[in-house]
Amino acid sequence: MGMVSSLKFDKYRGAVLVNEEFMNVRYRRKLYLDSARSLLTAEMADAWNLEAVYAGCGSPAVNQEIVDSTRAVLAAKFAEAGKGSKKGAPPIRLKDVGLIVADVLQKIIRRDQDLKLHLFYGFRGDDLNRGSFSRDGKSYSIKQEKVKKKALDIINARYSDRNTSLYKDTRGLLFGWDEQFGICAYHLDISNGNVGFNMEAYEALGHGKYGLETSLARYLNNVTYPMRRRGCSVAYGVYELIKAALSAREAFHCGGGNFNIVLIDGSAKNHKQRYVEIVDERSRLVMHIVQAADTGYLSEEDALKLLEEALFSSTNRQTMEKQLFARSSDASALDFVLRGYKIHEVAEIARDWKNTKKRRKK
Amino acid sequence: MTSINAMRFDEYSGMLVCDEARSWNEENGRLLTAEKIRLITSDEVIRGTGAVVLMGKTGTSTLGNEYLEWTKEKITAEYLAAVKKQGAPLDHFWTIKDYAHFLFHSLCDIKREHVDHTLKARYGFTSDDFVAGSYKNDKGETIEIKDKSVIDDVHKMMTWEGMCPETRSIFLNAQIVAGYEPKEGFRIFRSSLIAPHCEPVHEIFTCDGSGVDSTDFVYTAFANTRSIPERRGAIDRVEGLAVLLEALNMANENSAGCDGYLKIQYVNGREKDPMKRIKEIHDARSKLATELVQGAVHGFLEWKKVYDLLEGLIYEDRPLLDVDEDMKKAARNPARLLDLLRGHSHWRNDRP
Repeated sequence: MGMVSSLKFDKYRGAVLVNEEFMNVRYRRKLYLDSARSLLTAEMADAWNLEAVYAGCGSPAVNQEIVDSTRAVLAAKFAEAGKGSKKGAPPIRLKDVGLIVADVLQKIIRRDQDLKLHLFYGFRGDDLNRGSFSRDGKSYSIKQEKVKKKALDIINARYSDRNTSLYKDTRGLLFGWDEQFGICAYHLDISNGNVGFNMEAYEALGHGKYGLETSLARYLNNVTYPMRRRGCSVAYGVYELIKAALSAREAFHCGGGNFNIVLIDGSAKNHKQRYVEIVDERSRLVMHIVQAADTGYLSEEDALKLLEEALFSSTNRQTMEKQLFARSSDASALDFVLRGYKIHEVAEIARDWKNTKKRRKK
Repeated sequence: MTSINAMRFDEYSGMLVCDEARSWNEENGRLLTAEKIRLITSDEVIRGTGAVVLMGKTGTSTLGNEYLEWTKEKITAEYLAAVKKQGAPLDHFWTIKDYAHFLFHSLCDIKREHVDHTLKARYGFTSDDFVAGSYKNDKGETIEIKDKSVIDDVHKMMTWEGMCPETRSIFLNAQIVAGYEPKEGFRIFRSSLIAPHCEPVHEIFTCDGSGVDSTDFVYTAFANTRSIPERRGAIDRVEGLAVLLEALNMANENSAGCDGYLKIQYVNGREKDPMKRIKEIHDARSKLATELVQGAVHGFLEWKKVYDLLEGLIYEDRPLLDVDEDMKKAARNPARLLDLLRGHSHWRNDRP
């Protein structure tokens, strides 16, 4: 499960945000999903002048296989081209990566169908298409109507068990930058094996998709064409992405863990500068900054300044946190907000706090 | 997706705790609005009988709401009828067992009503008609229920055979009934429609809901180490509270759907005024109580100090902000404690 969202800030810049929560073993809550990964090594990214990040929700296993297999195909292409464009071979674009992902995805789907058909009936998808299968030199026709119906249900993703429903819920996002289209994205749907182009690179997938969409729509629906074309700053874009993720976390299950962010800046000269991951305590810090602004304890202006520093400077987390509390309109109330107290109750606690201070002075 | 829990401290007192999350529709909307454990004895019944009885529900939220409100009214009506019949105040009304069985049978009535709605809409008869084998249609004609497929389908719905989806929301429900009444003291019962039963809890605790995967480990570890006299009714109320909170913290952390503030309900039959026999804490105090236990579990606070602070916060009504300040002062490393409470990874922070 988990959620995935992305936003294009301008032609060169954009970001992907994923959270860390997923469920397995009945309803066990796990906060260690690592679902946004670069498909390229630094060497490939520099040689092809390309960035490609894959972020998936739904089945962690399927997404892992997509990443592993796509990386393997890309590595083979890179080796074959003798370091890509440097030797005159045509560079790989994000669309080419998308087609590789599509191929990988289709193979995963077909293999999964074959596993089920083999288990239930002893034949595979090709046999079903042919209408017969052979075993020990003897040919058997597939004529039994009930068998054909269930086999077709499996092929057409109408058959459901605990595992296949996870497959059905699996969606992926390929996000990146290339010289042809700038920042853009591809949407992957495992239920039909499709990979669709997404020019705006805005995406919301997974458990909290309606929460993400509602919040992002409030921003996107209120900016004009020129504003959209001009784009926004990285800090502002990240602010909107985190605000959307907080909204999804509030209203939907499975929104827990840190918000891991991949920032892509196509204007930078190499992969190291073009591809920046905000994870672990830095991701919690940027979430707290947006949470403080979202609940009214920090101005948006201060939040953007702090975000800029948190994303791009090496100032340590503790120092940044001191700045956050110093700029906040009520540090003790913000402490309760960040600890997960209910917002409406925090206002009451803050009032009590003032009275308590007076009482203690007396 | 829920965690409902009850623990017996001694013959007069005990505690029930639950989370407040519910899931909404197929998209798994998260709402922190569920009151999963509620008082089922009205003020009239408490004043008249001295009994304070609570019920915790896990399963379909809307069915639980209907059930809890309806049964509270029915219990009051039963009590008033008994008083009227006797013409004088009652010496004794019901034991906790009576309440538990009454509630189970009330749930059966609700189940039958819901099944009947479906049967009436689909086949034009009720479950009673089905048992009788015939029904009268709108024209007054008697129709025999003979078709094998119809019989199979209806029987599946009525008994949840094969876990048929039509009645899943009705059968997927379980309950805890616990409380104090003067004749038998504090008792806990559990019942379920999933594997139909209604029985007393012989342990010092019981728990249900999806959070049971986590909570049961904590309670079992606690109960395994109590002596026989303790298990028979000498659990320290602060220690019991701390164990309940530790278990619920674990459920909130590990079980999807267990979330929000905890609702703590302390039942104390020693109070002379029956209306004071129940104390409910469901606000920032319960959140702070969970933080105290979280701090101790992760090694930032001494357990002894946490017990003192819990006693003050929950049982003695110390002001929240005083306890919060004492917690921060008592922490071995206040900055790291705050990191933990704000969701930073405590494993990394707490290990060299």
